[in-house]
Amino acid sequence: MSYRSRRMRKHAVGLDITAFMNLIVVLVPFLLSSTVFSRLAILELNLPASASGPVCVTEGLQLEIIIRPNALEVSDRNHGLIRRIDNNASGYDYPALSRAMQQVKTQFPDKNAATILSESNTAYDTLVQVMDAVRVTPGGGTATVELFPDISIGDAPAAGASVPQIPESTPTAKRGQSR
Amino acid sequence: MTLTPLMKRAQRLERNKTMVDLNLVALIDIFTILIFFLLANASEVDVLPNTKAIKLPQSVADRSPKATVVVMVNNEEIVVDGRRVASVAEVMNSGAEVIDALKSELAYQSTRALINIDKKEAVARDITIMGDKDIPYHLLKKIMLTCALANYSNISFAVMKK
Repeated sequence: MSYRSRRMRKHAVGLDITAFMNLIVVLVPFLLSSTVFSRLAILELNLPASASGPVCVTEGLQLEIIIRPNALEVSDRNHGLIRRIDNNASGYDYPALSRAMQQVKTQFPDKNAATILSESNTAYDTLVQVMDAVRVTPGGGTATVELFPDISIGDAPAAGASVPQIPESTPTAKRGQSR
Repeated sequence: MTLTPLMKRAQRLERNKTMVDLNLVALIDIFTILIFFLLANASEVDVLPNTKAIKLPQSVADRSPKATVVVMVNNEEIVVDGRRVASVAEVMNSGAEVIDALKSELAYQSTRALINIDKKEAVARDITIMGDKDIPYHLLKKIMLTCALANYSNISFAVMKK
């Protein structure tokens, strides 16, 4: 008897975890398959209702960013070109645009609106990247500072035309998009 | 106490048995942590549909998507809430600025919206555009103009979080 009890003591008390393991083995693949690893977000832009007419403000800064095939142009609708950012080897120079936007923001701290004018074959991706550069400073987390979050979108004027002529040359229906 | 040969054999087996004891503690630890992590992730329901046909552009935007009418556009077709309304090739070839098929579909969507109690025409509705990163701006412009004309003027772009 003494031998038996000694043997019993030597054995560790084994928990039966078979049911638990079954549960986990089923649950892990199920949850893994249903998890979405790419998180989606949205960029908001508010267009004026189509009924409201075009609003022409001639005072203050009317910031416009024009996407050209070979450059990004930062301009003020009332005063013309502020800066032209030529493409570098890898395409559009978004960091330079972001720096330019930060400079403009320091000069006009209370402005929140900007208009992005793109030409007809501009890729959607380019548009979104420009929107990002105009909207917030790069950084992420608490380091991001909002620059010009109220973004409108419109047609770019022809390359040679002077910037202040867009309001007259664009039909009202199209202007619904640029405010 | 005499043992029968069978009992002796059983005892011998018992004594000589080498227990193959898998040590599962680390595995269970990992699984438990993994389950909590996945459960926490799965709790946020994805509002926007997830398709392989569309490659969304990446952005630093952090606004979370809302449940709205979704227009999906890639280089082949325009889909509104899972229903195909027009092919991109036709839309691009026609000179019209407004996509009629999309407009009628959106008008239909606005009639079946749940919040239709106060029939104020001026209420701007929300719409989310999921565009492929390669679609050209003039296609996007046509879609946005059509949405605005159909009174869906709160337009948001769906993007992939960086």
